[in-house]
Amino acid sequence: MFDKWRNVDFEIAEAHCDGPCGVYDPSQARIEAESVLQLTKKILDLKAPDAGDQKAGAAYQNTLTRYIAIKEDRAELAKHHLLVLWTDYFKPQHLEKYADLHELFWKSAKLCSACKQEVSLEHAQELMDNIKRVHEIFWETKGKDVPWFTAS
Amino acid sequence: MRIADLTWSASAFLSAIMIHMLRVANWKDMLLFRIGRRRIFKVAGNSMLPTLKNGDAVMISSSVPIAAGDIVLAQHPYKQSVKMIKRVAAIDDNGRYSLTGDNSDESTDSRTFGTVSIEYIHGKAVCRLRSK
Repeated sequence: MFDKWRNVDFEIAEAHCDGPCGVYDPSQARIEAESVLQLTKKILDLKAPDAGDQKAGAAYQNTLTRYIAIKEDRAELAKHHLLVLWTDYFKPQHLEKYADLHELFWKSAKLCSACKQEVSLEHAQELMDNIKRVHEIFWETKGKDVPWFTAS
Repeated sequence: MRIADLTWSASAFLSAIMIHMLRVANWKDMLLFRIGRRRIFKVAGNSMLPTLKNGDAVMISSSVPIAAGDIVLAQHPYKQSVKMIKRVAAIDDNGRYSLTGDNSDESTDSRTFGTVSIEYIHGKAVCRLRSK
């Protein structure tokens, strides 16, 4: 009886979520934060050349500038991925179970900024520790046992 | 277990299924659609699985009361052009409706945008068109 209706352009009733793919993973933030940590170490380990060696000085400046630029970018990306998890994935029922969730994300986002402003191993490591906690909470909400690991 | 208990359990089970399923439209529904008393909407997305799948067509009536458990067509509170199909999870003491998707993993609903007032609810899904 309804065959003739099948090709009619009916109005649409949306049954989507705002993130249509529904794919989230704290690994994105972890990879960027790992880069921040490694670049912070590299900046601290980089030896300045003798003042008279112009060629070595230029190479030093170039390398240092690259380290700083990449650290800046990766810290911003880590912040972005954290904010996506915070605002798009986590929902009010998660807050009921994990009362420190807002503070965890808020402090993590601030740590991303601190890692841009400073060359601080302490803050870079603290950011990694926070993302590890995000990882634990995230996979608990998914009901999956995903062990924490790092690429470096 | 007594026979009476078994009968009651079966009845409760069937009632639960009936609440969550939408019956298939019949000629009376089509007549009401013809005279403009019902509107047909096509479902886009997976948030109402397993009750409604992407591409299903449902009939909406604006003249029936809404109760908790009903599937409704609602206006998205922040996106003017978006009409959503959701289930009424609860109605609070202030008459505000909590909407949810049957497939909560792929649903943006009252957990994100909060409860909505009756003005945001366009009608109740009363039946679906028979799918292929």
